[in-house]
Amino acid sequence: MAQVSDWTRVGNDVFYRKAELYTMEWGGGINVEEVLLSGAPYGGPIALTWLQEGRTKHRAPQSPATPTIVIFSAAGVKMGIIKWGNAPLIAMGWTLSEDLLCVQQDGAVSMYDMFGNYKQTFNMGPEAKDTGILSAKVFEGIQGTGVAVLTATHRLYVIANVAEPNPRKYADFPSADVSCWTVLREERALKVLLCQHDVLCWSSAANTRADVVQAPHVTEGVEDPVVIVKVSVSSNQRCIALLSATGKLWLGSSDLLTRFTLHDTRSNVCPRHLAWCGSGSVVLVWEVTLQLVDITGSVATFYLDSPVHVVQELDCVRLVGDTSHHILYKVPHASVETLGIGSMSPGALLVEAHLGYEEESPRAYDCLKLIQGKEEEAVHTCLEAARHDMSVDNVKLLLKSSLFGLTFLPPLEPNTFKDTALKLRILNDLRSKKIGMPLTWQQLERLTLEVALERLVARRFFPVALAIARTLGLETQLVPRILAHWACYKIANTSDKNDEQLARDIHSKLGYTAGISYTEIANCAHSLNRRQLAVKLLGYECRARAQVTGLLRLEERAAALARAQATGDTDLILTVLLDIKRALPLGEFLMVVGGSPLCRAVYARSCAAGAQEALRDLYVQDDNFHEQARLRLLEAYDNKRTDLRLGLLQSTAECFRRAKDELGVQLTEEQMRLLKCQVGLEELHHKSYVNLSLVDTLMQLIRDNHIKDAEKIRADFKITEKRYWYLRVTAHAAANHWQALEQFVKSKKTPPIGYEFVVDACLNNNSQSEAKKYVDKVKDENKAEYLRKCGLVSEAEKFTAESTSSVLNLARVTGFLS
Amino acid sequence: MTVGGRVDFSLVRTASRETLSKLLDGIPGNKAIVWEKELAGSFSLVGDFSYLRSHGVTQMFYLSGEHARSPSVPNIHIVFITKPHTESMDAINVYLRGLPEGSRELHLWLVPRSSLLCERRLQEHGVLGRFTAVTELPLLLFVLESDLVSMEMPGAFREWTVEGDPSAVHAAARALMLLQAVYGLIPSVHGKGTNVAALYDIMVELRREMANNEPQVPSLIDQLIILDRGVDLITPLATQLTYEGLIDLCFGIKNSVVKLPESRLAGGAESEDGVGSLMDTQGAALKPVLLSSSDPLYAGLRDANFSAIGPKLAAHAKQITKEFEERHLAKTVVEMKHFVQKLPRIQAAKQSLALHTSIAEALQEEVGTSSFGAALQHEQQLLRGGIDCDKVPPFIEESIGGKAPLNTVLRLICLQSVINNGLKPKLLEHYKRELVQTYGYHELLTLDNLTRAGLLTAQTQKSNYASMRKTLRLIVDDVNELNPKEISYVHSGYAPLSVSLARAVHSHGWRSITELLTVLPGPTLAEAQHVPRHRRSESVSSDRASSPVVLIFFLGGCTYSEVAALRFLTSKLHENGDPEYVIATTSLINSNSFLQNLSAPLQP
Repeated sequence: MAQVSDWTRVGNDVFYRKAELYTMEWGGGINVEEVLLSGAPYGGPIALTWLQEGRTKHRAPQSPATPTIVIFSAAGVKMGIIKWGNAPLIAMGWTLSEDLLCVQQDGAVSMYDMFGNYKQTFNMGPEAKDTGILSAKVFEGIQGTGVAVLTATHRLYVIANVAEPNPRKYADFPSADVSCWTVLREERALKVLLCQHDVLCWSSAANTRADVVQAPHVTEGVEDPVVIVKVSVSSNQRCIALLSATGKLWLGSSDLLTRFTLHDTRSNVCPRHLAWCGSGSVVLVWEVTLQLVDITGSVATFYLDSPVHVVQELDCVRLVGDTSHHILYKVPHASVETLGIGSMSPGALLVEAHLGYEEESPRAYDCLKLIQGKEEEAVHTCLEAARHDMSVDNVKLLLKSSLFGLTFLPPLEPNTFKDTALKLRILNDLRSKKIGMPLTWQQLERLTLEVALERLVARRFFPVALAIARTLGLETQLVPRILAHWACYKIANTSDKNDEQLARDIHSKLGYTAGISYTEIANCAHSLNRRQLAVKLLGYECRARAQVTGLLRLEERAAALARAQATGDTDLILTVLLDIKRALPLGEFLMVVGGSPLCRAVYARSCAAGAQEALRDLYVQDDNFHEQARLRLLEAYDNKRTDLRLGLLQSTAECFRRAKDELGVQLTEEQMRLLKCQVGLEELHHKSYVNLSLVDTLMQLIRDNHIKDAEKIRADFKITEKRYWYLRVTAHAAANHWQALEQFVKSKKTPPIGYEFVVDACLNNNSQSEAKKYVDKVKDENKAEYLRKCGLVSEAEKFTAESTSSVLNLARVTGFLS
Repeated sequence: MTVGGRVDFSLVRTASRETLSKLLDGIPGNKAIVWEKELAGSFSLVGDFSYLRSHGVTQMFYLSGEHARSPSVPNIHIVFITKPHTESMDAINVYLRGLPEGSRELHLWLVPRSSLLCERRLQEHGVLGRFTAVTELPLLLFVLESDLVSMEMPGAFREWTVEGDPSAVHAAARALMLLQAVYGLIPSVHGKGTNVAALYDIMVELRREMANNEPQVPSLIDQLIILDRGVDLITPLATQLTYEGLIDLCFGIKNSVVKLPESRLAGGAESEDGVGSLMDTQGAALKPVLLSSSDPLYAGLRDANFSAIGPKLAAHAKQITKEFEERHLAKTVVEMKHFVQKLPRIQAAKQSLALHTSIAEALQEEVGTSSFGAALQHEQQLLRGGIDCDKVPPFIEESIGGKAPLNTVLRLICLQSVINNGLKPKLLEHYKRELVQTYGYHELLTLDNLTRAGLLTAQTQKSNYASMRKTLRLIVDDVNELNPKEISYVHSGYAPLSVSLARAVHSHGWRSITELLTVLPGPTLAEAQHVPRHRRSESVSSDRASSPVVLIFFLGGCTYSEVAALRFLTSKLHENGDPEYVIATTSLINSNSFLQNLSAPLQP
């Protein structure tokens, strides 16, 4: 039968349940009253420190001699110790990433991880340092966790997000004692509410002076100036609770405009804690009495075993006592419906039917009959109740009932049930004493599973996290991250093992899991000053680019270069080469480059784009004269000035000589002679000759009728007779010097180049009549073709000759379009 | 296009689009694109303007080496898209000078990969900081046809032969990994050539890098044959005589688009509308024409020998006329309606016919010149082994004497050198001297480049071309161009060496031609990639009902004649037992562009 006996009725059909989460051992007994305690939300760790003299009447007997902060899991398992040697501690708080923030009296804020390892320190600005801090709050800001401090000079400084610790001064407020204050998060801005006697001040970063308003009346109809001594804002920032020195409680909206209810606690003693339990009620805690005030005005009182600290959660409060850790939450509507005594809702009937079925009683049938047609609703209510119930027995009962109900339904959404069951199992695991993360369903939904897993990893519960990630099918996103965390933890905590062994251990665990980044792990090893290990780990990295850049970071340049070359990725090789170039003197660098053809090509390519001198350095180093000659040649043609070009050609020839390229030397020297010769011709004939080739120069001279010059050059450059004939005929024909052509052709009995060439030269310059003069002398085997070319078709037909090629017959297709 | 059609590269386009969309959508709001002209052309193979517009691209500009004209550039985010070349960075720097600082976000996307060198160049210019992000846009493959993808990296061959820079090999390995990501791991890998082993090593490396994250796709391609261009330097030097090959040779096809002088397109000029005409450098109006198999007429023409084009066009004309004449036969309203429905298709076919008739006429004009015919005759003589390669052939002497275009002369000299396994030192020297004297000293660098590329070398070993010709049946004397039976129709007698090699490898592996392998340059590759059982496709397992698919990767470019030859084999797969071939290449080349790419850009 379901456990409802521990439900406490608060008003009509509203129940609250206080249940024990863990018995606390604290590793040796703690008196909660004597410590300053801060519990992280979402079932996070608990930090506590013993209050120092001056703040309590006598020093606590358990407190150690030196000030110490001890961190426990929510289940009371010790996780870390911080020896506190700094200025007095004012406040502690937890960030969203579960780091502990300790605010000191001098405005310095130190950050530790949950194992008490120091992370960093920042401060709240010079004024806070000079004047000291009265009180401080760590709060959940808009983008991250923030810290607000109140200085002794009544100034407010706020860091909106500890990730960017820039303290900002908030609006000044009337200088008077502040009885209590709190930080309120609005949609886009943070506001601070300060209570000074009977006035309230709103301070923010936006305005220069705080808005001062009268405190709302805490007694119905009476305008009593009261001092507000405690203030609390609900986790969703919508509701606020104000408690007067006279014990009157005001509950309303956080803008102070709407009042939900007034309540008289009938106690002049200021309670130790005032906190919201969800957004529907407020708890006030004196010594061992807890009063719960609903926003409708209903009240319930609980009696506790020991004094407690209250941790306000999204949807509940947790009460951390000397020996036990309790949770107090509102029993959700679905639970009341299904498990509530006397409930006749479909959900309750389904539970009843299930129980009847188990007992083999006809009751099962009767109950099922009653919910006919409403089975789906019943199943959903049971599931809903199961999600929010914190009692394992109840959850079991509800899950079984809904499974029983599902059998009467077509397979609608089997996943809903499966998902719920899976998540409940995860929650159950998280809540276990070993892990100690007492999350409610709602908190898990808000936190998301991914974050919950990250927190598990941060607590070093690697196998559980892995198992959960694999069960959820989140292999690709989460598993590599979890494994990487494990590896880093392993590296940080095993200093004795040798690098080889450790790298192999890590690799044997991680293998080539999809998405695993050995670079990340190597970076971690490097940051822990284990360079050799980092190099070994990088050896397992399979993404070449990551591996090579990682090796470069470790200054393992030779290995990086070898690896880059193996990939064949030229950009990567260049990355390494340029890194080496920065690190080594030029000579040594060039030795490295010259060491492999691939490197040389890649580097040469990078130099070719505008760094020719660097390229020359390389070739000089290599004694590569051929390449040097090419470079000089390119340079020569970059220079339009003849004298400069001549000089560069001279060095080109020199390079060719040293490269033992005889032809290159000859041709280059010839070109220099030609260039000089052309310059002379230009002076003589006032015409442009430079930049023409030898043949073109001759042709130009012939066209311009400077035959003598041409003959001279011909002799100078030892041009063969045949060559000379070709160019002479071509030039004469091109210039339409037909007479000169005829004269020249007749100068020999048969031209050494044949008459065919002469005919073609004429035809190419559109002179059939000239061509005809020579066509008769064409060799017989070509005669038909040449006659046809000259348009003498009838003569051509006399010569029966084959057509040149069968390829070139295109049957013309015309006429069909008209 | 393919008969088998088991592998359709349009999936690659889909993948590219996804990559591009993701990047475009990563920048909110409207954006303007500033890109290199050649990239803009390649991008048109990924998505047209309406696609870009749907992803918020409102304006596009070319990176022309000039300042941005501020008023014309709207005040929105600007995305620069360039290749990772330092020259492009310089152009961006110049462009940015015309753009006031601040107020807009600048992005730089490098295709196909990011480059440290480029970032450093921008840093030197002091403009790197102005960019919000420099991102890699990994568009490695552009789909030209359902069986043909190109990396559009025309500089690849030059880079690794002349400059010794193997960056393109890495890119090619990434492209192959991309293909394997889409079509599954290829179980059998063969290859030949200098860079092939390096390429495969990088592929292994990239696979290792993926560790256990390999995409789980069933294998659709059964074999990969990687051919380094250096293995077959004959084919790119030979004149390709297919219709498409000739169009490329004479006018140049870029990204499936050919720009034709409008004067040449008298009949078909009005057929394509909506495409603005451009001017070429001489000021003659140029008209872009898309060449794709989506036009059924072109699909039938592209891979045919040019001499078959006339009859094919005539037959097509007859067919259209016949269909058009059917209107007289349509008596009833129903028949009339039937005819009217066919009308748009007939109109389109007619326009296409007019277009290709004018293209064919323009080609005929080029092909009909005596210089073209004479060079072709010389080339065929060389290929048949009818010319003594240790002497200067009269045709070459005459061509140099008459100062024929340098590319023509170089092409034939290189062909002589390649089939002769290099020239006698004396002869080589003679050629070099003649060429330098005729075409200018600055061409010395071009000649040096050709030597490095293995096209113009001194002989070290006796030529084995004759035996190769026999073993692989490279020369077929009796070619039927109209109704081809052999792949040699693509060069009217010469069967591309590369394709013959691929065929031999596919049918018998390397063992059948071990002797040849020792004379071809570079290492020989025969590897198996283990494909897990569940990822094997039906054909890899024993089912032989469908023929296997072979991917040929041309490392360093392939010609349209090779494409045509492989398509011809695919179309005959049921008769000859050939597999279905699909083709990937670093770029498409012809003898002109091949040599042009290797020449040194020096001005006298």
